[in-house]
Amino acid sequence: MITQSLIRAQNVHFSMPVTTRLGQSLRANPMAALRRLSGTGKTRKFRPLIRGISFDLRGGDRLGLIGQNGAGKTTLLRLLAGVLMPTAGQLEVQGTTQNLLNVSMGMQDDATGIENIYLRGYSAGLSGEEIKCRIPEIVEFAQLDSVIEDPVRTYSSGMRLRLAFAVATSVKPEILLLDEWISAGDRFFVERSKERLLSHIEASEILVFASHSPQTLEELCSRGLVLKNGTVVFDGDIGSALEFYESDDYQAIDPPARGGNRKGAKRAQ
Amino acid sequence: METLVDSPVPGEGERSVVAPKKDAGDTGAIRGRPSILALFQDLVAAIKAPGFWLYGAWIDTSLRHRSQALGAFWMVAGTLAFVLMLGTLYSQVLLRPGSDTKIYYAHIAVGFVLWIFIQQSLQQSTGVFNKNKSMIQNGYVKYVDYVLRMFSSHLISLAYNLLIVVGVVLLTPVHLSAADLVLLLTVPLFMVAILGVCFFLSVVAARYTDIAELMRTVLRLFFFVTPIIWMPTMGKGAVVGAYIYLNPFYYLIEIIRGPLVYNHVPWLEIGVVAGAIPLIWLAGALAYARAKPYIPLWI
Repeated sequence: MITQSLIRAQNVHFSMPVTTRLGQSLRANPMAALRRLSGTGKTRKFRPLIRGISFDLRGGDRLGLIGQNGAGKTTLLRLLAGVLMPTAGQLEVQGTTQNLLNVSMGMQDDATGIENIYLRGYSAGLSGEEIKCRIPEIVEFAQLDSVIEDPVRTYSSGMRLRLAFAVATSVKPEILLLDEWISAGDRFFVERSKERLLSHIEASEILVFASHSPQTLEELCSRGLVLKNGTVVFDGDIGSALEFYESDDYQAIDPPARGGNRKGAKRAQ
Repeated sequence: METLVDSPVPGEGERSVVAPKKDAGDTGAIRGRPSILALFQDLVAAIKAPGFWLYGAWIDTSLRHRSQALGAFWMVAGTLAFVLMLGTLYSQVLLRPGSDTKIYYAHIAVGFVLWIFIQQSLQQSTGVFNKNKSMIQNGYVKYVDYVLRMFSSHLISLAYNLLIVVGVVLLTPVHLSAADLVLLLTVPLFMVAILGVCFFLSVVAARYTDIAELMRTVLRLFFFVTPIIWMPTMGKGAVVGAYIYLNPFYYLIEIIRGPLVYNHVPWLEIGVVAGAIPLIWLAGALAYARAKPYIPLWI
């Protein structure tokens, strides 16, 4: 059976409960704390971060997420990665996924490069034997032969990035989610990783890539999704998406402002 | 269109996530809440694929002692010093003249080794998701794995500390008897009970950060309240005797120490622990199912 990897988002919403720890403190807000204790204060506030995003991705699609800070790129990636669950709408993700979403990429600072390869490999669902086979190739691509036995905390951010990228792409995931990963790499690494990505993206693979670098986006992606305040304001091929993002239209367009709190409705059960 | 999945298992690896259809709009509540069996389903999945947490537990143990000259010896050294010093001191302070001091060393050694394990696992489970924040944010959301990793790394420490228990059995008049066979039952009971509490605490403490501080205080207090450095038979036995049954840690320690040191099978204590286990795991499963989608938001 051929499993076709796909991502299908239909009107996906995500709202984050606003839990400022300060507001929970007894000292800062004694009345609220008492109300919470007595169970009468059931007003939870939510901040919508993603408001009704829809798109379909099939194998071979390379999607670039474009948008200013706070537009919802990272939140969308986290939803796709399964870290966050949508609060409304439908999100369907099929296929093995690899994510490079945050800077530390879940590395164990005191452990050596090799040990981190094992940890990441195991977390990607590989067996010890499979990881072992891949180590030479990973180390070679990351160009870390001399330091791979050193603790990762001694690495520069570029070295960490190379290692994480090499491990994540060695598994040949069906879906690869990347968030701003390029920023710490030098141009040689960027070149090599582009090559590697493009060679990986065959008919069955999906790439979702958030970045501020128009050049990289243009080279890697085929389709662009421009976000603003958690909504899609443009969906089209990457060239025109970038054009739209840089034009005045992007500034002019005005989806409902972010942060419109609302009282939590009754939990749908 | 696929049907709704009760407990989506998101994260890296093979998966298929289907969130339920939009109904009454975005209320902020996360849909597709995991079923109460989520904890057990995830646990089975974790045991089928133990690579990450077993390797992680080993790494954690190894890292803790990597840069030290004496390395893993420290795991045993601290406990050994404690048992020898306090054993010597308190056997003079607490025991009546003429009593058997050797059995007191066995008492304190077994009790203290078990206590370290209890205290460390419970304390660290309150911060376990926070510690693995960056991995969770990066998409590895098999929360059970993090708890198992923490738990097994303490199991490794416990295994080292068992050297002391073995030493005690050899050096003191503690002798093996038929009562020790009951350890085959009580040791698993002990582990299952503590693991259940770890799951419960890990989830609850991710939401309520005060729990970590509370546990620190409670555990510090209970080290003195639990018969570890003292024996229930000491002092005004009858008064202590009644209150001791209110102390949950007493049961946990007694079901292992009783058979091992005193050749006595504490059926009452075994029964209490066995009866508490379903309750502990029920609480853990409820908390886990309720909290699972929210954990990344809390940490």
